[in-house]
Parts: sequence; C-alpha cells; structure tokens
Amino acid sequence: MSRLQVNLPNPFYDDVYDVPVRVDIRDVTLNHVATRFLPFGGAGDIEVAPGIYVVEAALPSGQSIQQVVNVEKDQDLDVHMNAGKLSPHEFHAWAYLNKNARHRPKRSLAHPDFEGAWVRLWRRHGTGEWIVVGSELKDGSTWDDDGVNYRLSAFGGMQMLQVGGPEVPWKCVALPGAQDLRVLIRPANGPVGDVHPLDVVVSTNNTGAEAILSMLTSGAIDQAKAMEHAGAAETMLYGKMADPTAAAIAGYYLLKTGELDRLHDWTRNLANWIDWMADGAVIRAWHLLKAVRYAGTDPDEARQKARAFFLEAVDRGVPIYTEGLRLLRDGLNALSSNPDDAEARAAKSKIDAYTQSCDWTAPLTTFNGSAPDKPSATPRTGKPESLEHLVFLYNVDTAELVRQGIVSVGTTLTLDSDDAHAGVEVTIEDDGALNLGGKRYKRLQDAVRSAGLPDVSQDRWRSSKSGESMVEQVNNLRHGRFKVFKDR
Amino acid sequence: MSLVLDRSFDGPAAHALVIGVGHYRHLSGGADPKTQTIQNVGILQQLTSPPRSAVAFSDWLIAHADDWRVPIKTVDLLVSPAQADPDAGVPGANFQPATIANIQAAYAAWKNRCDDDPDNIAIFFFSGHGVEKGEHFLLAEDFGEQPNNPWLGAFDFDTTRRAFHATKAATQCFFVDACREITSSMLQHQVMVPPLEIVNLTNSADCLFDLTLKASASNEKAHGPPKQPSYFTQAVQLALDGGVAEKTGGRWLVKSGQVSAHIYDVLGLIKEDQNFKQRCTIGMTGSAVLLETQTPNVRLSVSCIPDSANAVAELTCTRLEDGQDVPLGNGPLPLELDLEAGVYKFDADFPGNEFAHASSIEGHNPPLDIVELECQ
Repeated sequence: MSRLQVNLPNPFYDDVYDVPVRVDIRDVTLNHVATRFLPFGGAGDIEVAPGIYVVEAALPSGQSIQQVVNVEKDQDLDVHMNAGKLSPHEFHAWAYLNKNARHRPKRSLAHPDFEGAWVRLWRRHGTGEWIVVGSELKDGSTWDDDGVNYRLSAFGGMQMLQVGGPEVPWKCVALPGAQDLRVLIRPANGPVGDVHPLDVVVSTNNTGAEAILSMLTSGAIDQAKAMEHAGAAETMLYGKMADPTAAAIAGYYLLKTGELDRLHDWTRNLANWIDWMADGAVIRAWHLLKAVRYAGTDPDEARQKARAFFLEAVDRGVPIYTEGLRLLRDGLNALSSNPDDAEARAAKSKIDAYTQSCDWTAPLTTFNGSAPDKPSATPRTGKPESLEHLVFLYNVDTAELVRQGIVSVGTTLTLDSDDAHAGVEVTIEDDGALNLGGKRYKRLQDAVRSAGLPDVSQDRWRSSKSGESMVEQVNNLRHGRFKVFKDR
Repeated sequence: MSLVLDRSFDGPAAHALVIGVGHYRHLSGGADPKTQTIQNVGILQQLTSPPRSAVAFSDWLIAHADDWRVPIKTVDLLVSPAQADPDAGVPGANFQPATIANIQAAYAAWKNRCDDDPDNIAIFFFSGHGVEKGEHFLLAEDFGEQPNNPWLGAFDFDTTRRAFHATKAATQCFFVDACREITSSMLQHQVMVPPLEIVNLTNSADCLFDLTLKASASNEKAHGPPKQPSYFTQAVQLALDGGVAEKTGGRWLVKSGQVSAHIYDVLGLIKEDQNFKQRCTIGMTGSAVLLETQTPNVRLSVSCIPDSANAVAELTCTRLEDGQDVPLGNGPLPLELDLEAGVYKFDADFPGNEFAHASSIEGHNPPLDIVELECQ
C-alpha cells in the first residue's frame, strides 16, 4: 500500500487552528475513495493504492483547495495544501475559513454610502430592559477597506450589536456570549434595497460549534453529518453551563439531524438552567414535539409542555440564532390557530414583529430595528440621539468631523502625500459642503469620486487645520474616543 | 384532474405538484382587472416567466421520471399563462389554471398520494408572485378577486410547509420561486392568509429528509428573462440534472444536501449577480439521494495569467482517466468549455517563446470551475 500524508499548514493567525476541515480523496474518475477530518494546521495519513488522486480540503465556509497527486507503489507522499489565498487578510481568516463569508466584498467600506456608519452594543437586563453599553475593543481589531474586524467581549446574558448610518438602515444582530468574540463588518454583495448594505459576521472561539452553525446555515448538512459532529454536538450540549450558546447550536443540529437520543434529557436543563436564553426553551419545546413523532411519547402532554416553553422563550426576548426564531415562529403559529389561546396569540404577535423584519439567511437573529426590542420592517437611518458608547465604523461624515473639532469651516483636506493620488484638495465651506475644484459635494467620498479616484480611507487625509495626518483622530472615532454632546 | 404524468406501478414513488402563475386575472393587465385599494396590491404586475418555469420544470421531471431514487409516478401541473404569453411556449396547451380552488384541490390530492409510503418522495414547485410578512404568502391566479380582501386568493406557504412535514413521505422537496414586489415594510396592516393545511403541532416535527429552497427576486426582471424560465428554476433544474452530483461507489448521485449546499454556486452560474446571500433561504434536515445521473458536465473557464499570454498561447488538454486529448477548437483564450467531470491536464505552450510553458492538473467537479495557467 502507498500512503498520502495530507498537511494543512496554517499561514494565518492562531485563531483558525482547529477549524475542522473535510479532506476527500477521489480517484482519476472523481470516484470517492476516502474522507478524513483534520484540524486546520494539522496533518493526517491516508492509505491508498497507487494511482492518480484528487485531494480536496473543504472548509466550513464552503471554500476548498485542491491538489492532484500521482502516488507510486509503496510511496509515502507528502501533500501540502496551500490555504494562503483563502482569506484576503490574515485577521479575517476566521470568517473566510469557518463562517459563511467566503464571497469577497465588491465595494469598499470607503464607499460614500458607508460614510458616518456606526456600531454600538446593547445588553438586556434582568428586567427585560435593553440598554446601550460600552465595550472595549481588544487588541487585534483591524480596519481595512474590505472589512472591519472587531475583537470584543460579550460574556453573560443577552446582547446585540447594532449597526446604522446616514445611508445604512439600523440593523440588530444577536450576539452569542463569549469572552473573546470576533465580529467582521464588511460591505454586502447584492442589489441595493434588497440586501442590507453591511454584512455582519460573528464568531466565538468555539471553532467546532461555529463550524456546525456555518454548515447548517449554508445547507451543507452532508458535510456537517459526515464530520461526525453528532458526538461532538452531544458533548457541547452536555457542557451547556460552560458554553450555553455552543450547547444551543448543538441542540439545533441534533434536532435537525433527528438524533434525538443524543439530546438525552439535557435539553430540559439547557432550558431551565440558562434562564436568560430563549434558544434553550425553543430547543426543549421541539425536542418534546419531535419525540411524539419519532419516540411515540404522549402528544397531549408534549403539546402542553411545549406550549409552556414557547411562551417562556418569548418572555426571554428573542432567540440568539435564526433557526430558533424560525422554530419559535412555527410553534407559536400552530398554537395560535386555537382562537381560545389568547396567551399564545399575544406571544405570536411579539415574535411577528421580529419575523417581519428579520434576515432569514443569517445564522444569528438579525433584524432591522431602532433597538433590540423595537424591530421594524420600515428601517430607520441616521445617527442615534446619543452617541454614548458608539463607535464609528470606518469613514466619518464631515458634519461630525466639524462637531468634534477635527476640522472646521475653511479647513482644507489633502490626500496624504504617501498616497498615489496625492494632491487632491477639498475645502470645507460655511454650510458644511465640500468644495473640490469649484464644485460642491455633500460627502467627502463623492468629491473624491468626482475626481476619478477610488474610494479611500479617511485616515489617508491630512488636515490643514492641524497640518497633520488624520490617522489618530480617525482612529479615536473608530474606538469611540470622542466628545459626546448632551444637546443632540 | 390536471395530471400530466400518471403512471401505474407498485411500490414507493415520487409525486410532484407544479404550479406556475403568470396571469393575475384581477390585477392590472389581467383579463378581469379590479381596482385594488388595499395597501400596495395595485402595483403587482402580470408575469411571463413563472408559467414557463412551471412548464419547464414539469417537462424536466417527466423526462427524468426514471432517474429518481424512486420513479416519478405523478406530476400535477397547474399553470396560468400571462395574456402576453398565452401558451407559455406550448402551442395548443390547455392548462388547468392555478386558481386558489384548484391549488387547494390539487394539494389535497397530491398530499394523499405522497402519504401512502415513507419511501415516497414529495416534490412541490411554485413560481409566481409572493409576499412576505412574517410568513411567506404565495398568490394564485384569482388573487384580488375580492378587493376588500385580496388575500383570499393566496395561501400561507410557510404554515403549509410545516403541516406537510407530517406526511409519510420521508423525503420532501419544496422549491418556491417567488417574485417579490411588495415587501414586508409596504404592508402596514396585519394580513391574514390561510394555509392549504392546518398544522397539528404534535405531528409537525420535521420529516427525515427536507429540502426546502425559497428564492425571491425584487421584480420580474430579477426573477427571470421574459418568456423564459426563471433563473432560480434553471438553477434547480441544473442542480438536479447533475450539477451538484458526486461520484460515490461508481455512480453519480444527486443528494438533497448537495443541492442545498451548492444552490448559490449554481445560481451564479446561471446568472451572475443572482447568487448573493439573501437570494435564497434554505431549509433542510438530513440528506437523501434524490436521483442518479450520467457523468455530468462541468463548465470550465480557461485562461492564462497575465492576460497578455492569452493571445499567444497554444493550449492543449488531456483527460487523465484515459490519456485522451480533448479537442479545444481554435477559439481564442479565455475559453469556455463544457467537459465531462474528471481530471484534466491543461498545457499552454508559446511557440514565440513569449512565456515559459505552463500547465495545470486539476479535478473538475460540476457545475463550474476555473483553470488559470500562470505563465511567466
């Protein structure tokens, strides 16, 4: 026999080690020969007969890399799979390898539509009230034209990230609890108006759970099942106290694949012990309902208990995961067909507000709304009344630059001399308009575009007011370090 | 009855219900237009693509009736062709119209047929107008007949889908291709749209093998070319026709899980820019073999890098399975090729020595792949 030693060297940062990779070996007719599951950054042996083979490594994101090799009799052949092209930046690799983020943005965050876009974090208190909270951005946060990569903590309780801007509809994204959370915000592809302009990709550092979620979201059920994640999912569910959101992903996976035995009775504890998370209650309700069909349990008792869990889920707010929102909607729809069940109908009405404004294709519950408890099919744009705890995403609107004292009327902005397009000058006029070559523009990037230049990051401008590059000021705005005026 | 395929045999079978609505009788441009005063209903237009989609999908099912894991026994076809395309490409056709009453009756009969064996495969296809407000509503030909409540001519797809899970057929494929001109934000009032079937909560757990694909497009232009099947329909058809097949045990098999995993890629192949993330929503549980195909084709785009090498390269291609040369014609690079899936070696030579010899050996699976020869 001959042997293939498949190596998956990691050219990125540590945070993509252990991303589960499916390696398929196919013969010269593409007939499937063998499959192995390797952690990204790892290696593994596969015994084969001599011949030509296609070695393909498929990642949870849907990306894959391939090599064709010719194995001689009794040969041990090392195959090194080159993953370097899978992510445009090493800091974004966690999203491009393990999340549903394989398509690269066609627009830049410096596009005029993103000028003044902002981000803030909400937390739900025990009373059910949502408040805006601050979050220190950790080292490793990066800002690039094709995406802003935040590292932050969102540990404990229900939290949501909200993005918005003058041209960006306000959108809330539920966050899984994690001490080290990664968030990539980048321009979305797709027709304006149909698709929210910003794509928000989120991951915890539980790469196994995140991989399962990615594959469930993209419909790659074959890959998820083949990865023998049932056992891993069972372990995740067991470890619900340590990582409740991973346990929820595991619960959804096992419900979807019909592996009810592996759910044990742990779904009851997930529902009862993690009392801030709606997902546990939804999973428990559907576990009870599935057991009627596939384990022959008593339907009346199951219905009664499931109803209580659905109502409990609504009391807890909204599920973190879209799959939970879908299952909650289906359960409440069925319950509320009973005209006498006013409680179920009221619960359905609350959830309807989310389902009417949500993005069903997102893995995390994602909806347009001015606040986490104010979903709306009619999206709002602009800035919040208070800028407290807000960070600007990338480029900042000129009005805010003036307000913050970074520039003022009469200031001339010049593209930094290191830039290939140096020499372009824009002057701020009395009414805040931008003058370039005698023409007036509302947004800085519109002026830039009129000069036939590509969209550029604001930190590449120099202000005549300070005589210095705007890197530091822009960086402060991106970190939320700015004046919050009380008269807004 | 509107069965366009009705075969007789024993044992498990696949049963299809195919619906295409292009003629909206009571909307602007229809045969019996009525003034629609509720919300934005009046903006809905007649459609020429959905009837063509339904006919194409039905024809494809019939042509491949014996390729499915269990043979297709029945295909029920309801079509309301737009007045601008009255035969939907089938001269002399006399379709059963897709009114809400006909849809209700056809659904009930189809469900009964699917319900007699767990090994059955249920196939549902709808193309026409859709509206989403929490649930996804699909509009029948007679939508708007009662302007005071136009929704009497529609049905709640999501609830219907949930109810159908209880059917014995363990493999259930639902394809919904809805044109969406009214958005959720345009509907200011609560809309009550009945499903085709009521959900029994304790009997509504997911079937074992669910493949539910929903596509929506914001207008007819995005939905499909006029008087042609929609992009989504073409994508589903291509996927089932081997576009997502994998070779296992010497057979090319199309599995439901592969259809769901690759539908965006196939959609992008049919129409660039239609494969953005929010274009389709996917529901699935386990993955089942749906059908077996012949060796499928893969569409290859072959080019040299840098572009300047394309004009001077002499390209040859060899299939490694049998060492056969593949004729490439004399067309200039970049080249679009439809080849049988397999492992191919491409060589680029430069008689004028402008670049050094370049080659690529890769396995090419359907539906599409790119060959880039890096020339130095």
